[in-house]
Amino acid sequence: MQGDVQTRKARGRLSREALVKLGKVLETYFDDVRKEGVPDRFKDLLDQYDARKAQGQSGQQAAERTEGGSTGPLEERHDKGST
Amino acid sequence: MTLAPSVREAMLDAVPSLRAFAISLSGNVDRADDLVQETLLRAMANIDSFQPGTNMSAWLFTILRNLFRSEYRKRRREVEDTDGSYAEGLKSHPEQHSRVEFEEFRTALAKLPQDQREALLLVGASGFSYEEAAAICECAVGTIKSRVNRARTRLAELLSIDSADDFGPDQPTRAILSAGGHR
Repeated sequence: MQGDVQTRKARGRLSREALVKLGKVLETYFDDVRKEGVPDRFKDLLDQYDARKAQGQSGQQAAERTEGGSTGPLEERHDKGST
Repeated sequence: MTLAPSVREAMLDAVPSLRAFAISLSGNVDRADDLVQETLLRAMANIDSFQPGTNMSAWLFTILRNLFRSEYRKRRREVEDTDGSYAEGLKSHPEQHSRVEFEEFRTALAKLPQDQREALLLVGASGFSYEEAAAICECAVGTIKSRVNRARTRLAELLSIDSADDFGPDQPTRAILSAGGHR
C-alpha cells in the first residue's frame, strides 16, 4: 500500500476516487461556514452605508432649500452595533 | 448614490462564501469576519469601479485576497499563530461529522503554502473556474492549475486520502471495467 502511495505521489496524480473524496471534505468544510448564512453585522453594514448615502443626499437638498438653515449634523445617528 | 438593490443582493449573496474563504485563509473566525467587513467597505467605497454584469463574487474575492495578503505580510512580523485559537469561534462547529476529521483537515490545510491553499480554496471549494481563480490571484491559468494539483496531492497525502486500496493487483481489470462504465 505504501508503495502505491509512493508511486502516485511521484506521478503527482490522484485517482478519481481520491479527488472525489477530497472534494467532499473541502465542500463539507466550507458548508459548515456557509450554513451560517449572512451574519447581521454585514447586512447592517450595507444598511448603514445606504442610510448614510441617502442622508447625505437629502441633507444636501435640505441645505439647499433652507439655505444656511440649521440642518445640524445628522451623521452620527446610525453607528449602533458597529462593533 | 445608494446601492442598487441588485448590487446589494449580489454582495450579500457572496458573503457566506467569502467568510468560508476568509476563515480558511486566516484560520480565525474573528479575523475572517473583520476581513469580510473590510472587503465590503472597500467594495462600497469603490462601487463605481465595479462593472455591472461582471462577477461580483470574483470581484469581492479579489479584494479580500489582497487585503489578506497585505495584512498577512504585516502580521507575519508580529506573532505566528499557527495553532491555538485556530477556527475556534466557528459557531456551527461540526457536530454532524467527526470533530477529529475537521481538526485534521484544517491542520493539513494550514500546512499548505499560501499560494496553493488559496488556489485550492478558490477552485475546489468556492466554485470558481481556473480562469476566474487566475484573475483573482493575478496569475496565469496554468499556474493556478499546477497550484491546485500540488495542493490536492499534498492534502490527500496529509489526510491519507488515497485510494491505494482501489488499485489492487487487479488494477488492469478494474481499469477496463471502469473505462467501460464512463461516458
